[in-house]
Amino acid sequence: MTTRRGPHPDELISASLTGDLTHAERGELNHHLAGCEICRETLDAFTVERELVAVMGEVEPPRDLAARVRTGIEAGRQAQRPWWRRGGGLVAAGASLATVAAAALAVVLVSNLPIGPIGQGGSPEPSASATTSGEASVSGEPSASGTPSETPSGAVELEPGQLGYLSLVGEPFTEPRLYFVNDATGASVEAQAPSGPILSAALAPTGEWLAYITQKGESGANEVWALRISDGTTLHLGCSMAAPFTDRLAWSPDGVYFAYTLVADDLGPTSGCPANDREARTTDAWVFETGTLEHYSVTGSGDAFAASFLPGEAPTLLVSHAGETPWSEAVPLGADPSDLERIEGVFMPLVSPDGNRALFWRGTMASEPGGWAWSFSRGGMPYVSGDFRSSGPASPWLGEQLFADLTTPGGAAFAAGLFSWGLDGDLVAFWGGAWNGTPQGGQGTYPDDQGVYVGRIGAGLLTVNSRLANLPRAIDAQDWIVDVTFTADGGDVIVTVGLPSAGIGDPPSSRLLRVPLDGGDVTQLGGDSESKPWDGPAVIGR
Amino acid sequence: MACSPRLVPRFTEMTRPDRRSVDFEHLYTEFAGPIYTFALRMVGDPDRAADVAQDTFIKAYRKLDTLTDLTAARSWIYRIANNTAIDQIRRHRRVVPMGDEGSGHSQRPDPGPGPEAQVVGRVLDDRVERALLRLKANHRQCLLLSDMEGMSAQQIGDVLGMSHGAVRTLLCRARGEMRRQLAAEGFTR
Repeated sequence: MTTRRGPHPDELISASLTGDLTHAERGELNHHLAGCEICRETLDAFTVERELVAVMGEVEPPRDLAARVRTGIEAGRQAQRPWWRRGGGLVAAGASLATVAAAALAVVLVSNLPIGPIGQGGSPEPSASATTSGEASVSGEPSASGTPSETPSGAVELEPGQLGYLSLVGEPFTEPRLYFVNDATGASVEAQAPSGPILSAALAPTGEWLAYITQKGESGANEVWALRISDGTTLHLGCSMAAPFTDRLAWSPDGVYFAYTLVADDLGPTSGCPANDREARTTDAWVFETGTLEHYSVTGSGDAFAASFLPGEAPTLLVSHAGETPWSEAVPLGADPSDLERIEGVFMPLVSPDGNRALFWRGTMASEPGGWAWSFSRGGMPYVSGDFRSSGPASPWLGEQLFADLTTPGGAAFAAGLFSWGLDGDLVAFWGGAWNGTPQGGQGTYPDDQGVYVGRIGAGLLTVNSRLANLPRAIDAQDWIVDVTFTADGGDVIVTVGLPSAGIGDPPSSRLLRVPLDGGDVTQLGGDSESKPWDGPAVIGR
Repeated sequence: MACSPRLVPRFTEMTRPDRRSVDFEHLYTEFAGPIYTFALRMVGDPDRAADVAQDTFIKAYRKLDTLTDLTAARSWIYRIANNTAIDQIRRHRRVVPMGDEGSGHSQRPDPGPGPEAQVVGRVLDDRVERALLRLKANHRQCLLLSDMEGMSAQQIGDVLGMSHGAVRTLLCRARGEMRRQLAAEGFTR
């Protein structure tokens, strides 16, 4: 048998198996086969291969597949939403905790992204992902990659009043990219990409650093990061079990210190989140110093949360201690802590930008077994303090309920929730309230965990009518509120809205919405990526 | 595995108000088995295949409104399944063939008669499966869609987002690689 000279038409042989040949190609192939033993063997081999694959047969799917699909569809709105911010407050949270704990123990991480070391104190190593907006690696990206700014110009650092936001884009799980975007100039800087969406962010008063918290894949843990905006240096400051009241980020007035809360846990040696020096499931306040790049714990009680800084030249951190009756203390950083002031009944005070008031929580707390994941079990309500300048003999911490028309029959109230100040120290916003009682007023939907309630302290407290009426028209019923930030002039709020996810494999996504407080039309910021982006939270230059 | 001709009439007969849930139920009924099988051959592990199938149908449910051309349902659901499987593979970085991977099958002689005579049976299935799992993911997906699902190059192109010509080239390379892997499993052709 002879073999024809020239290239063997393997592609035609392959295509012949499925009848994908033109008449001319068929003739050419037949002519070649007649004189080529090698190609006849190839045809035989391809034919056998095709038969072997074809007869492998269909495999019966698992019996529970339909139930899993159904559950997944129904649970779509819950995916990626922190468990304590889902409906039902503590009741629902209890059931979810087993899942969270199991996930954490199993270290079900969706990414093997390089993660910096978690410290027992010390200096975290900057990541190598420092890329400034002016460099080609950012500006040269094709739009399909989701780069938020193709032709950045101007500075990425925020001038007073300018708006910036984090944007997580790109192929999820394999090529995530994180950018901080200056919305005014279009410039962006790339940071080390996390493995999950961004839950909260806080800009240093100096504008030099951005602190933020991300979810760590689907592990049930969060990660705390600091980004130096000028050059993209990204520092990993620790991992924490996700728990209520751990998403607060606090900068000292001088921008030197940044405080955060970690719930200690060990996700395993390969997770990038090894155990720190704290006992598992204990909660402590940590501090990062921008000058030395060191981070360390400032408490050791295992029940301590970083709340906010007091005004003044000496950096003094308000630390809250969870317990049946929570309390707070003022911890001067770098000074002898012997003169601590104990503030009974006050939890997670958030001092206003002008330092004149604070929002805080009161109520009876309870924890999950093991003394972690504290939330309010009875009577949890947000309060606003009196004016620290003119409270007279009464303690300003007596305060008033932030919601004037909410009652707590039988102790039912908020398990947790979030609030923020406007820059003027008068505007306040409340959202994500996990109400565990019977809804009141507002056609039985008050308070609504999808609602954003905004008001001015000087003009009275929040009520059912404080809910932003224009926001519901711009979001779907299954969306959830991630974060709310006031613009510098107090005319709008920038709301990060998490979108429902189909669960494992479906990338997290969110929209960043500008919501006018005068009831005007809601507009969207960012979102110009072709991939599903996670845009937000937003921060404002000061 | 074969095309599902019943699906299209069912879709078109539906009335709009209840179409979504009914359409999805039919979609699931028609494709649960094939999609799970495709996922299993792609990722090589029953549990992960179930995850892929689950996520495929959840995504399909959410995106059902985007399926405007009802005749394209089969390509559409396979496209979702394929992308989901590729994501799954990327996340796990590598697919480990079941059984004694790395123990030198390439030296093992074919213990039985010719392969045409043993196209049934678990042993044969395992060897073909191992050969499949050693292919590159894009070769494997192409081969499965052609030889297991019986799709034409044009249909495979619809699933993978590739031209007819590119599919033919890819399929040829996949067959060549599969031939080598089968030889490593002891098939002598």
